[in-house]
Amino acid sequence: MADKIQSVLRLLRLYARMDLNWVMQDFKAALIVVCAEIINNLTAVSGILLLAVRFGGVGGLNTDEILLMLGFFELADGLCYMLFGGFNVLHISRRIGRGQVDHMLIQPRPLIVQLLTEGFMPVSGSGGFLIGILLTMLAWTRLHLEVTLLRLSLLLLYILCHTLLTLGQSFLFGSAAFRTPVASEELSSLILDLNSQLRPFPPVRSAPLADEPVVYGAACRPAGLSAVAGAAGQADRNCTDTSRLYRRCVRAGCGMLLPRGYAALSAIQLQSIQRHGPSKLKGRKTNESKS
Amino acid sequence: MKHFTAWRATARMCLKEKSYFGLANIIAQYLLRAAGLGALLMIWRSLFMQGADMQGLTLNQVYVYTILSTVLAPMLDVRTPASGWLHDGSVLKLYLRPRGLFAQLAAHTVGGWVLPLAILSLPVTGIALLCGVDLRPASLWFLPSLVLTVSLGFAVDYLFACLLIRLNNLEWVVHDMRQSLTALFTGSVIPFAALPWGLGRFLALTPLGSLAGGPLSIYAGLAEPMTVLAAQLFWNVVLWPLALWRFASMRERMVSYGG
Repeated sequence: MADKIQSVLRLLRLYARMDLNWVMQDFKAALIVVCAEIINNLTAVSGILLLAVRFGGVGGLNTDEILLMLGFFELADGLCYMLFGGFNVLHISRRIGRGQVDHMLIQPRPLIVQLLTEGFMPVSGSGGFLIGILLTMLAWTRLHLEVTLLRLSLLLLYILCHTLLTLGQSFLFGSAAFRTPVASEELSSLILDLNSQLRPFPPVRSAPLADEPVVYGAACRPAGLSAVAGAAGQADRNCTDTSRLYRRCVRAGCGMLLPRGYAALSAIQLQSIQRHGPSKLKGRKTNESKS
Repeated sequence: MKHFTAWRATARMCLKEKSYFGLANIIAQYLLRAAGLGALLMIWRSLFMQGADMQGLTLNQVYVYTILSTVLAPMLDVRTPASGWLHDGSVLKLYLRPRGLFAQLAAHTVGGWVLPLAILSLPVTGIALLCGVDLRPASLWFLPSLVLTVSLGFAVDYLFACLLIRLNNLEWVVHDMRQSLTALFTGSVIPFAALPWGLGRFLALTPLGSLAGGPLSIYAGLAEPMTVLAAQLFWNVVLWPLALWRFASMRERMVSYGG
């Protein structure tokens, strides 16, 4: 087990160095990429934030709570992109559709280790993550939230939820590319776009942020779970109350259920690919064979 | 007539091309847009329900604005295949054909509008009418404004293609940046009248603001037609020569992948 972890860490270091090399090699291009990413991330959250500023809040959340929600979304999404954004790991249907998973199957590393490490780009892909940290810190300050161990743990828990959920959805739907490589090549991107498009929208209900129906309502939709529930969990100010703490654990458990479900399904798909991949792929048309 | 037949044949080819990626891809794409539309409509409804001071905006106006922005999306944000074809090298084949480059790109673009208009726009319009949204335009000046928007959209697209060439084919960077900038600054998502600090009045006069925001504001009765038309006309006169001049000079720097 320790060997495996060491191997994963070594590979992560390697990909981080490769990412840094790319930046050093063509600094101008890297600067453009990072600046463009920062602009993208800022404009992605600006629309709803401007509406909230103009009307003093949206969907029962005030402007600062909206800022917290958007900050959490940027932080979690940015981290996910930084960890898995490279080499189309997050957009797995592209790699499957282009037949690149076949190449991975003949590498002297387990598929899961390759998928866990290949997408790491801590330098060029960190724009969203950094913006997310800034926005979250700003929102915490404006909401006068204390930085407690519990709150930080909750933040990490929700970020983990978000990452599992995003990866799970991408892999689950992207696996369709094994069956229809050309038609489903962009399916992961479409699913991720759908989530990105819906996440910044708060749940439409006139209720305070920490009210449970809001959280449960938001948890019903995968996109909402990531942003709204994450923000709601952080913004609950009465952390000392035992019953609230208990309810929060239940809430977090419910929140974890969905991404776990997705993650489990994805793991099953992955195992199936590992065991039967080559035979399943045999005889199927891929982009390469078509061209 | 002969030219028009060739142009129509190209547009038809492009329409067919849209279905190459299969039903799942098409459904997912339109689901994406429908979901965005639904979320935004709910936001507007919640704002009116919570009693926010909308400063003259009516619920029907913002509904009409939002629905029209989805129904006319392909025309309000013109995307020719230029950027993608510059990236993968397909643009070269356009130079081998006995037609002008811009005419071919325009034909491909217009052909690509048919499917979204048929699959998404018609059903959305029908559903909106069934739900009792009054979709009658506030002013018929909306039509010339839409024509000017489409024309300006082509010019802006060619300028983005020039930017792509200048940035040595960083296609996804330009694509993503354009996506996020147009969503906010063209007024295709949020009406300028609903922006804080009088930001909308300034944005409406910019080239990007003259795209989607112009005809939608006239249609929903959120802006004076003559001011919008004057701004659109001005930007058309400025940006078209600029686009043609930049494209002519950038053509020499074209580098593509593929082969």
